[in-house]
Amino acid sequence: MTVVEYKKYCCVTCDLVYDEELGFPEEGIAPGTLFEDIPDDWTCPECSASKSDFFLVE
Amino acid sequence: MKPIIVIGSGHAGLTLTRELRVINKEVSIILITQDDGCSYYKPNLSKAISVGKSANDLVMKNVEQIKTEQDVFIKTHTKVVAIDAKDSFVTVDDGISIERIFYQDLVIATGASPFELPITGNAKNEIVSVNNLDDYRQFRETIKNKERVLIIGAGFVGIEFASDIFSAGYHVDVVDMEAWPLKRALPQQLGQSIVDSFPKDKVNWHFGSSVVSVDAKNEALEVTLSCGKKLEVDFVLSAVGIRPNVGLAKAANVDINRGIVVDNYLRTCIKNIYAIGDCAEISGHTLPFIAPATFAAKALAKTLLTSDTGLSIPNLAVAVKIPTCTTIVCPSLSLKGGWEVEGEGSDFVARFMNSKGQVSGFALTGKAISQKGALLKECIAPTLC
Repeated sequence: MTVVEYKKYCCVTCDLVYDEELGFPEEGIAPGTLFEDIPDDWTCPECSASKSDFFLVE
Repeated sequence: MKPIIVIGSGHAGLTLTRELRVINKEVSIILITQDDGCSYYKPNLSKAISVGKSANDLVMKNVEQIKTEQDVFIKTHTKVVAIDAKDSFVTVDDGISIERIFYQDLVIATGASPFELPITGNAKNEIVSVNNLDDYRQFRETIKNKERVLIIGAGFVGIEFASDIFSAGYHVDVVDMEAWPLKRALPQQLGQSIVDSFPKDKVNWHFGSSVVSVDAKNEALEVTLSCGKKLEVDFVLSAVGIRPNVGLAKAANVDINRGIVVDNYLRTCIKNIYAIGDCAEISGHTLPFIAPATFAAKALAKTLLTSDTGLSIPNLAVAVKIPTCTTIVCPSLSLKGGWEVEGEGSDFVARFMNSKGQVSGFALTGKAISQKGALLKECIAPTLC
């Protein structure tokens, strides 16, 4: 059995956190969606920053 | 080589310095700010009381972290007193000494300040605006032990404050000259949904009216409205909008209209002087909200360090943070046209149709906010020219 290690990413502008485990269901991104699988034209639901403005939370 | 100087440490200024550093590790960058230089997300100022956040809780990065991360020289608590465009230097005053700093390029990101309303009365100076973190710090202190708050303005900031402040246990009165909240961004039905979502015993709305005077009376404030009504409250908060800070640019003979006039490359009329963020005006538009400033900072960083990059802003949806009535708006740049509304109850889709019959903006409430992605695609691309 493989255990997926979900990661979290944070928006540099507004601090909103994308948690892969939770997804963003209200934005059409299902729980468990890896950050790299989110479309490149997706933007931060809070501040409209681009996907590349998110950084990995260590 | 002389440095790039950025004036102002708001979102526009700090995003620019960050983007400049991403492109070039060597270039010398100096940020000059009257504030303490920390970063925070300004929209949080109108939704932090009900969750008990102090000003310090809202700080994302302090100035030392920013200096280290961006390798930028930051002069805090320092005022730029003049720009000499002929010899390319600014004169700065940190309260101890005055010095000149020469620049290669100068970027003005001085933001905007609250409008001052023509209000009379012996307590008019007690009207508070919350436009930065220091204002918020003071606001949190002053509002303690108060019970009744009057908010002037039912725009984005006004209704978010109304929501936040009533949720924190205060009684709230909201006064606005228009007939419904967010009049410029949504039609009446949606405005009414917002009003109806607030508890009637905690929030009173006074539309079609303005504040004439504020006077001290019986250890409270008596507010007189243009409709003749008098309200007794403990605290008055103004949220009527902001006006670009243009004084410094104007004194340097930079072209000014409402804001500092820039072209699509964020260039002012003077060579090597640029403006971004709330202080700038492009093709007759000032561009509020966070995202346009982010786009402008990124475009300008490229223009300054790689190649000329014009500003292009996609349609942007802005969430209005009122938990009782979830609302998303994408305001139309053109104000010519009319609304087409679908929906019922508190779930509405409103499309702003421009004079050519195209969707140029929209507003969504309640469950309809799930249609944000589809509506963004329906909207024509905004043109600034």
